[in-house]
Amino acid sequence: MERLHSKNQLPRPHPGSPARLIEIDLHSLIGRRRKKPFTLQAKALRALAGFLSLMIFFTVLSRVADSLTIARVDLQETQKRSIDHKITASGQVIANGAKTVTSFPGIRVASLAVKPGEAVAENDPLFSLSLEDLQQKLEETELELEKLNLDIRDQKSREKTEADSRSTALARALQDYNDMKSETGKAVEQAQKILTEAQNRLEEYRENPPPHADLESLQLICEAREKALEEALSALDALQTTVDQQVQEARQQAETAGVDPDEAENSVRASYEQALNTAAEKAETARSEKQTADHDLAAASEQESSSQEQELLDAVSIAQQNFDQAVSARDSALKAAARAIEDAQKSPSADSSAEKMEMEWQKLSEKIEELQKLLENGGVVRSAFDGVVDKLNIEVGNPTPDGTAVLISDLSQGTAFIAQIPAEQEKYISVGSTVTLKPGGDQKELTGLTVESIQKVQKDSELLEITVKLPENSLKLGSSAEMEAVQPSKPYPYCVPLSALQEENGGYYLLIIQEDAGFLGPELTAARLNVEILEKNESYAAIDGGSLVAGQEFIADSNKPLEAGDRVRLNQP
Amino acid sequence: MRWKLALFVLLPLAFLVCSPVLFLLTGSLMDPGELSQYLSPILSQGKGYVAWRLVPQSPSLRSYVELLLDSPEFFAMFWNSVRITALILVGQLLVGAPAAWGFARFQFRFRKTLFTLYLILMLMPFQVTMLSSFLVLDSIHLINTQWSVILPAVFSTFPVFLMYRFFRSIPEAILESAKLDTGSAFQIFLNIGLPLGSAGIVSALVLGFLENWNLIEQPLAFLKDKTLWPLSLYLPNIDLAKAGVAFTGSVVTLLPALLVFLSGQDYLEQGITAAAIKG
Repeated sequence: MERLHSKNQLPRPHPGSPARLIEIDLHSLIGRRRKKPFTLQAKALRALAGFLSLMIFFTVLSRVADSLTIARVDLQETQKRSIDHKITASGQVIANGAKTVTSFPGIRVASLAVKPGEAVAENDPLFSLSLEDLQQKLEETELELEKLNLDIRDQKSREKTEADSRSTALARALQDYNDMKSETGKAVEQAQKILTEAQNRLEEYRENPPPHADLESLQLICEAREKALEEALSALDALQTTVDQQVQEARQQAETAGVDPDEAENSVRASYEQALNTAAEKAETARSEKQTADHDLAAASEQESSSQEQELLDAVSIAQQNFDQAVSARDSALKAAARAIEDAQKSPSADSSAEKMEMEWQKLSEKIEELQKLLENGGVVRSAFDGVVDKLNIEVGNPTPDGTAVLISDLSQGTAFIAQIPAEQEKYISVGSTVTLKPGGDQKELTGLTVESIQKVQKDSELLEITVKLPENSLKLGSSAEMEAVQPSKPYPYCVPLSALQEENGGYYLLIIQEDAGFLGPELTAARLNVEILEKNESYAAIDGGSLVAGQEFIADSNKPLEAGDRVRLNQP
Repeated sequence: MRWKLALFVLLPLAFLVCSPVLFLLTGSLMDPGELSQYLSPILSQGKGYVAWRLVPQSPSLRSYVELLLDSPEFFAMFWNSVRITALILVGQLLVGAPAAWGFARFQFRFRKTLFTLYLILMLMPFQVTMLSSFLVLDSIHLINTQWSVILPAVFSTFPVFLMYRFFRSIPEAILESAKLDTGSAFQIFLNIGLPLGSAGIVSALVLGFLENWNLIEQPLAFLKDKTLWPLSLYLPNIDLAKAGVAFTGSVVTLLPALLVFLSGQDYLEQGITAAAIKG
């Protein structure tokens, strides 16, 4: 090894030289040639250097991109202020009163004597109509009137005829009723009489029924049978008595003779048995015959009385039926006759043809009068009052309209300012509210004016018309101005600009700043703070301070759309 | 024939080992919608199993654009990692190399005991020493500074161990002849030791880079401020919505380690071989 003189002369061993020593050992051991070791190494080192350079480049690029995407915001604190409601509207000055001038419609306008905006005095000519058209119109109207007169006459004649017919019908109906009443009354009386007679006969019969021949003979038979029965029964009794006596005697004799008394009794009874049986049969027969005779008599009596009574009852019944029928017929007939009277008395259905014709006649007469007057005036229409011509609805050569021909503002009633505002602003202005008018040009603004009326606009229900009465000679008729009305509110401690409020699902929130520790250091992010709005106008809103911290700052403005959680950066003042 | 058989067995195994890197590359080129479809079962309580395609259905560079242009925090953490790793390696070179030279070439009292202690400390995992390290760092007010990660790594024992092996392999004769020329031990170390032991130094630096580039536990334990975090802590903050960025970030994080490894691969091989032979 060469001697070392100084550090600079030291041999610079190649980084691989110790390895080379080892290599030689390795080669001798393994016997294989090693590949060039440094190509891949150099490439890897170069690639690493390139990678690091690329990372530096992308670091800068990503920072730039990040700074471009982060929103820049302005912060603001809540303010204490009142939420005034300012209403502004543009409007125009009009005359308080306006009058219309009409003319006969459908007549050609011959000439115009005024223009819109021109002042006119009473009796000044406004326009003139064509005389030919007026004459023609007059003739047509007179003809029409003549026709109408004829129609009225015919109508009256018809009405008279109808009235006569109705009265005749009524008289006839009354006559028919009276006749019917008389006839049917008589029939009912007759039936009543017959009924009464039948009832009387029945009564008499029931009280005193007459005897009958057949019944007498049956009665005699019954008596005879009864007598026969009595005789048979007496004979039987007598025989029975005799038998008893004989039996008594026989028993006595038997006892005396010492013979069995029972045998003696039996012998006696046996001898009289036949006679007894015969007597009993006889009695029985008499009894039976009597019963039959009694039965026959009863049946005959009943039959006789019931058949006669039945006849009387039938007669009463028939009479009653006849009477009922007569009454019913009378009622029906009278009812029909009464209805006929009612029908005849009914007033006819309303017919206003006559009145209409009368009205038409009146109208035509007025038209004729008007046309005649126009013709007398040479077809000139004049103003009836002083004013300023507002609007002309007629043109030369065209027929007059069926409404306003000329609209004239009546200056005697003063001027007013009218403007329209949205209906939702109604709660901020009322009759008597103070307004300020700012006319255009160099004119001075008018303060201290009051609202005279607030009305809905007929054609648009979402608009209101405000009317402000103007002092005399304040603003020119037809000029426009800006109206401003301010309704102050009570002061609120926490007010924010409307632009700072965000709305979501019916709720409102503010975005506030929150500092978080991020990988790039402290980061500012937008956080959501829900708030409740107490009152607001078009520029500010008063919020409930419950969720606010004293001196709380919120994001008032941003150069990009923001959502809660987005990173932000403060705008440098 | 034997080598064909070996190849037949080794190739599939190699593919299996490399497949996570392959998935990483394909995932970085996938559309966010496709990634959501495949990964929703594990990242967002989706139904079914995780699926994957080796070739994306609709390749897209959107994730790369989003990472490289729209994620400045990624670069902030990248440069944090670069700073921490570079300072650690420089510190290890300045502190570890002389320490290894001392252990290798000098005989002094309690050398073996001290070296054994070094070995024991090298074997202890971070979790064991985390609490004591925290207390020490807190007492010297280094917590929440990057020095709390750098300084303990600078005084790590593993590089000393690696470089020791290489310094031990330098022939004594060279050193003795150098001693004749110059009596300065420092100069011998500087002019002889370092050049001859450069393989070991480089391999220690390469392994040190790979270890410190992927540090997770120490930054997580000692750094509260997110602005100080290295790149290894960027990825745990990703969710399904940013899965594409996670894959792309992993690819970008992998690249420096790969390039450093490739540039120092030879030295690593030499070091491993020399240790095997000389040992």
